[in-house]
Amino acid sequence: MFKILIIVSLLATTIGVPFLLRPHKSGAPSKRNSERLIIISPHNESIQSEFTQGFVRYMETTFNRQVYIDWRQPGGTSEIAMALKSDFAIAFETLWRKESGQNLTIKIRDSFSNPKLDSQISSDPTGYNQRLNRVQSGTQQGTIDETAVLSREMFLRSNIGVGIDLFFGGGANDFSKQASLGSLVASDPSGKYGPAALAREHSEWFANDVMPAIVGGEPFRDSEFRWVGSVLSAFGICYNHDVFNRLGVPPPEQWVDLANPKLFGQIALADPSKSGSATKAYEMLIQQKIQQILQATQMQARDIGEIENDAVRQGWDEGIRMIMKISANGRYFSDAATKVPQDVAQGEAAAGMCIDFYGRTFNEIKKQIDGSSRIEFVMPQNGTSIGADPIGLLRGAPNPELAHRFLEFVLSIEGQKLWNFLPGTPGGPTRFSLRRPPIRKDFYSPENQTHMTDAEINPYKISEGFTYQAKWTQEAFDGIRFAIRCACVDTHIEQRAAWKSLIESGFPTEALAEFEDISAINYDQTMGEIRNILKSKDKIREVTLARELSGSFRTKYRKVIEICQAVKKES
Amino acid sequence: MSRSFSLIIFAFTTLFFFCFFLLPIWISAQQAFMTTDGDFTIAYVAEVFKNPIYLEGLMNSLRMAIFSTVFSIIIALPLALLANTYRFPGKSLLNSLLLIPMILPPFVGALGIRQFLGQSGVLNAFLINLGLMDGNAPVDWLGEGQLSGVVIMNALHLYPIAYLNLSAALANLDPAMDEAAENLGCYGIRRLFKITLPLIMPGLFAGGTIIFIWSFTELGVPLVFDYGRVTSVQIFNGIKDLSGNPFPYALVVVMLVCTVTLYLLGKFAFGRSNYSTSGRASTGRTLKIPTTSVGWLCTVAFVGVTLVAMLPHIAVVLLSVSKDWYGTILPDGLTGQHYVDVLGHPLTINSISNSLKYASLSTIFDVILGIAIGYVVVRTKIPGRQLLDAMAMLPLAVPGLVLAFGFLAMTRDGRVFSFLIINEDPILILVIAYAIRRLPYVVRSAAAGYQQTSVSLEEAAQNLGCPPLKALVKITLPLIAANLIAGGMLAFSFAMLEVSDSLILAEQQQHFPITKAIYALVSALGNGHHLASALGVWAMVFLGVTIIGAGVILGQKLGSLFRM
Repeated sequence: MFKILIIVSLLATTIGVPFLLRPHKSGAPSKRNSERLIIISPHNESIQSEFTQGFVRYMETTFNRQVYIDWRQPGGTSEIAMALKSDFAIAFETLWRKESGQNLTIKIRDSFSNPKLDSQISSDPTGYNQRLNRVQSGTQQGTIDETAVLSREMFLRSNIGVGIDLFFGGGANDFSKQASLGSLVASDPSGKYGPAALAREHSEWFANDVMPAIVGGEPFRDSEFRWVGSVLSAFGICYNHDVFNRLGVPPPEQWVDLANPKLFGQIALADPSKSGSATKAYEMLIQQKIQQILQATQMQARDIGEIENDAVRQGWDEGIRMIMKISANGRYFSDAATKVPQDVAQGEAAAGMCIDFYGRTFNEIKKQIDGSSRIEFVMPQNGTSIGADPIGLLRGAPNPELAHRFLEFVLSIEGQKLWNFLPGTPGGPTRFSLRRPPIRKDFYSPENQTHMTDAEINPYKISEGFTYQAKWTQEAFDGIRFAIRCACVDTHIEQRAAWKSLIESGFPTEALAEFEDISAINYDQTMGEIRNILKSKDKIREVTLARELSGSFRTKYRKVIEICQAVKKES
Repeated sequence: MSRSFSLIIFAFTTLFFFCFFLLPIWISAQQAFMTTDGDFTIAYVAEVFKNPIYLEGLMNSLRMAIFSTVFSIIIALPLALLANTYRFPGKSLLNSLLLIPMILPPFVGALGIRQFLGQSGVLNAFLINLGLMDGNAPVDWLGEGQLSGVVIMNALHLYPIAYLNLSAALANLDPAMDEAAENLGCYGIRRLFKITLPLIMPGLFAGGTIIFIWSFTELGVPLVFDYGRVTSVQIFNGIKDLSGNPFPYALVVVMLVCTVTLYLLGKFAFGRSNYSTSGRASTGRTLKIPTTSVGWLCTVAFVGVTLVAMLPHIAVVLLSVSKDWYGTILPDGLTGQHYVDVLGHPLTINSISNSLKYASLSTIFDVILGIAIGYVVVRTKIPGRQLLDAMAMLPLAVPGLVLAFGFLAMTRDGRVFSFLIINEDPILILVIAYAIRRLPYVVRSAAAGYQQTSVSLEEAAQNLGCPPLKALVKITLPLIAANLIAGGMLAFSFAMLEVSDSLILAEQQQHFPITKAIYALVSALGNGHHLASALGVWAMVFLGVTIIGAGVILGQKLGSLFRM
């Protein structure tokens, strides 16, 4: 009996303590009688909490309205993409059954969200009902697959939704993808709400000196206003002083510094196959190489187009080789945003690819009394571009008016302050320094800088030195991801083993040449066969290609090891 | 029990499995069997077998499973035998403490392991301080360890499952059997292999299969070691790949088929022996009182195993009270602020009560289903029962994300099961999801109980005029209570720590369970890791008190039934 009493009271205490300590007065207003805004977002809890408080305050003081935000976070960007895909397919299935009277086949499920069909949609919108009738009765005309095209048209005309108002946070690539799929819209059916409407109301915000459309070659908003940037971000290198000292390597300044063989097994990498912004970072690395070669050869008296043509191919090859060497030094490819800076801060990795504000935040929290910090963040000069972190209105948003208010708040100077003001400063966040550079250029005023956490950082200045050239590699974006996956991620074990034996045998020329032979994924291959297969939507062919490519790299890495061993035996 | 009633139970459980297991998997996986034109294809499945990288992944998974199972049993079996034979100092507490290692909360558990084994981690700091390691060349345990590290970690995490099942099996063993063997001159090791092991085979099989399938499909531990070439990690990476290729779902199906095959093979090889003794213990078991030194040796063995297995847990506890912890054996500077912050956090209180709700409801559900399925499998001769049995093990093998997205799709508005979301509250589907995923523990324990308990007891009751169902409830269920409690405890603990369904299905903050709150906190800026650790510690303390409490209370009440 006594024992039971002890155990029951222990359990009661365990459950009771959190109830005793719970917040007495929660910051959010009562959820009853207040309007709800639903946002799907990969933004972390700190950002969610600050924007909730800021927006609730804004709505209360400006409009005297009680609102609350219902944040949806199924995981990171890739889980959000999966959730949106699955939910839109379900919503469309209901619509399709009702309108066409037919079942949703796999083909229709692929085609309603296929932007490639957009060009085939008839320019005559009044004939929609006739086209629908033809599909219903099964009498198609012409050579194009009218059912597939009609499903796309039906989706784009519809206002079906997934019960969520806004998509907030991620990379510009993720948003471009959702926009082209048709998940994001410029405005609601009334045309009164949404980013496009906002651009009409506040045209001054979208002027070049406030929010330019393109900076350093990077889009800061969609040309059709299906998404707009709200804050900026960039990939850089975070590194641990102690580990670099221990290994006797000077601190990194450029991506190429991560390819140093002394850093074998010490590099933490971001996974390009799961994140658009990580792929972007690898693409920047290639672009940087191209630029360097271009600068070096500019002096030659040759046709500029020809020089550029050569520079792109040569720079691509060198960029990919560098990525392979960095990858061969790598511990892992991760898609968890905090894992890399956390591991670097804990000395588990010497350096890693990391998003700017995580790097700066970890630098801050590990600061000693003397102001030094063991973890440091650098942006490789001319090797990184600053991208927009967007927000967009989802098709079929349940509350477009409130979503519009949120868009307006985020892009207003008041909303922008939350991103980088010190906690507790007037108009700043209440608890967390979010340490992110706001997108509005006019925000970076001397007056605002006194309240900023990162006053010394002006992303618009940083991006001046480097311009992203879309024409060089943008078409190969998916190809870069695919090539890295086959040459580095899937074959990481063999790649590391090959690199290790290269290091141990002192880089024999023949073996290094074998390692550096990337003819299977050179520029022409990637822009040709690889790109064609990725674009063809033939998913089986894609799997086969991945097998063939990773197979050839495995063979190659094994050969490298063999050569190295032979060289070792000789000596 | 009447045959028609058995058939009804069989039909109901099969239907339930069809709706909440096969259907959600099919929703996700069907695309891996169709071409873009909608025709059936096995090209994706064929690719699995053509690509050496995936074949290696399967082989490594198999290795991981075999070694993890063997090591878990090597740890658990001697301890279970000791506990069944001797009385020793601190036994009732140690018996329960031994189970604590299995409750390692997600996300922060990985942080704990890294904190301990990292290059600037505790182990290296300790070795450097002792002068056994060069501070300039620390060992990279996680980077170098890989597969062997994963196996050790798995074994230290999963041996409680074997221990629980073995203890229950030993508790069911009639001591008269052991005595008879000794009378006939069969002692020690020989008796162990000739008498004891065959008699507790159902328990060994129950624990062994769960550990085997668990580690065959384990995702978290290989991810901590950044080891990518096992099937579970390959599926995880493939599903999250932005290209949206259906190939990983083919890999899921291959892994499921492998799991069923391995399970049935195992069952054929080990699970057939069905030596149910004619009655319950015909003599009371009296525990031996060993000499003081042997007694203390037992204590040391229990404490030692628990301590080693709990190192990651201890690291999480220390993380939750530390300001910074880097390159030293113990944290620099302690603080209680993280607890004040996290327990006062708006997410915390809701998530705690939600988790308690979801986990306890799903456990009750599991126990009912477990009793039913176990009965059908062991006591009836309905054709197809073996398949039901194998199917009941499969939830262990399905990647969490696959099932979670299937559930999500089938409960959306306009879908057949949309009635399971009442007023935007996902409680019903979450309870079902948790219940399905944790069902194998209860089914295995219940089946082991039925196997060890002779049906003749029930028949005797029926001969005396007791209706069949009443005979089951009055006679058999009390006899297999130990098994049901063991299985239920596993189901409850792991339901409290469930990840994928929680992340995907609990969409609104007011419905978050603890695991999703931990996920949200880990990513928070600043002290997020420490806050998440603090919430993780709360979950460990709560589950720890529950497990130890159940052990201490039931140990007294049920006495010889369940030696806790």
